[in-house]
Amino acid sequence: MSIYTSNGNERVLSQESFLVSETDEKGIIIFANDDFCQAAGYSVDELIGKSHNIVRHPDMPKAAFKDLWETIKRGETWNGFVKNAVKNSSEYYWVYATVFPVLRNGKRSYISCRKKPVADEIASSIDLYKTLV
Amino acid sequence: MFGISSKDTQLLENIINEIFDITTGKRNLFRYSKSEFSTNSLKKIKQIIDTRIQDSIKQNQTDMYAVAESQRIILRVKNGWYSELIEPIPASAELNSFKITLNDMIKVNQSRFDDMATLLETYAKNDYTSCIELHQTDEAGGILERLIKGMHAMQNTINTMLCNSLQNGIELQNDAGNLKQAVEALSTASNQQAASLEETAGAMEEMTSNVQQNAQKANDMASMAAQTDASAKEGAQLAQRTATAMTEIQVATDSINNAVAIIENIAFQTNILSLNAAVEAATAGDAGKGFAVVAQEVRNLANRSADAAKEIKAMAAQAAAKSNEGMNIATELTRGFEVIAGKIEQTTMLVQDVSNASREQMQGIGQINTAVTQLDQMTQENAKIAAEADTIANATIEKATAMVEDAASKNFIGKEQIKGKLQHICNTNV
Repeated sequence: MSIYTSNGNERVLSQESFLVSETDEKGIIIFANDDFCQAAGYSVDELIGKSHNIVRHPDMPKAAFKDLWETIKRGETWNGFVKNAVKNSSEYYWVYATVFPVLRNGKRSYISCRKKPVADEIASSIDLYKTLV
Repeated sequence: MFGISSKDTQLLENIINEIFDITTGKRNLFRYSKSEFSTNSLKKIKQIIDTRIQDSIKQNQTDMYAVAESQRIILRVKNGWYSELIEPIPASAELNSFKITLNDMIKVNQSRFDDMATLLETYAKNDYTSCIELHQTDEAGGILERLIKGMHAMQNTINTMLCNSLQNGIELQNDAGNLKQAVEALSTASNQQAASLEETAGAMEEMTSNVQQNAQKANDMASMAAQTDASAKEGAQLAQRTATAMTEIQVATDSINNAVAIIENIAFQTNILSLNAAVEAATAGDAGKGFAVVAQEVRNLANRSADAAKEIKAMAAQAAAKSNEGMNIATELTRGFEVIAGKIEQTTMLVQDVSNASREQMQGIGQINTAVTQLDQMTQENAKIAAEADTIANATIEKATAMVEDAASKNFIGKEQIKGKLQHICNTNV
């Protein structure tokens, strides 16, 4: 069962969708769940070992990721709305992301959980990101 | 409504909806943290709402993190790792209970895998005495029971195989030992046989030489017999000629006797005549004196002739007697030579018989020699086969021993009973 419905180029996530991925401290993907793979259009093997910015969309301002990295490197949880790119297409999907810094056996990693944002949350994000570089 | 302004009422409505949307996961952020009510009492409520809604969002995050971590752990479990448990504690009691259940399942399955791995490691160290069992709390009829049954079947198969291997090894060892003894006996017998055959060959050689000498002597005898025969024949001829000569002598003696008779008659008449002459001479007186002397002389001569004739007669008789004797001797000689000829014939036949017997003996000896040679070859072949069989027996003993040692070095059910038998066999063998 698909975890999204298409609306033009947008993949609108279902209410039940729960995208999870984990990266090492350099942002290399070490874990990705099925929902994430489906939404982004990749197989697990295509994602493991790649940089997480494989799903980065050009519409996203660099400042958003700068804030993200600064927050999680401080050991704090970051959350925000993110527009992600689908593999090899002009399709995209919006998520509400929560990124947790993890320290496991002395090794730093980051777990990212994404849920469906509501329409007004996306709209206000679009407005906000237009003001950022 | 309750004496609240319509603006506050609207805000309150929005906030209530927002709270439910957030707590049910339909919204992510609270949009009204900066909105404010107009009355103090509502402001105080709003402060509580702000705090509680942030708590709720944090709880959602905690749960989210726990679920995300669970997904990662479960993937590792799915991939067979089993060494990590879900650590984060979700805020939701249900989620926490679920997490504990999941962790319990991971631990139990890990322990099952661990048991199996340990058992297989034990098997790998050649100890097949133990197996895993279905626990009392385990459900029968499932995949776990099937696995345990499978492990038991494998254990049984290996134990049976090792029992057979040990037993077969012991039996093979025993049989090979017996074979070796038999082969050694065969080898000894072959060597003794070879020695006997060598002695036989020596004796046969001696016998051959004897028989050859016999044959040679028989040949010599034959040639001597032939020579003797020739000599005897010559002797017989000589005897014949002697007999003829004797007859001739008798004839001659008879002629001499006849002549002597004439001489005697003449001498008698001469004597008478001389006597008459003497008488005449006496009558003539003196004139006749000379004549008387002559007559006397004639008479003397006649007497001497008569004497000589007598002597000749005696001598002729003697000669006749001797020739008669010679005749007899010659006849006896002839008869003797005939006997000799007969004996020589017999001798020749005997020699022929000896010669034939020798030839037959030689043939027999030849056959015996061939048989001895064949026996020798067969004995050598036997000895060779015995040596090869000994090598095979040794190799078999070695392999059987290796087999027994290999099986005995392993631990399996039924080993001690078979080892008891091994002890028994060893004791009876030694």
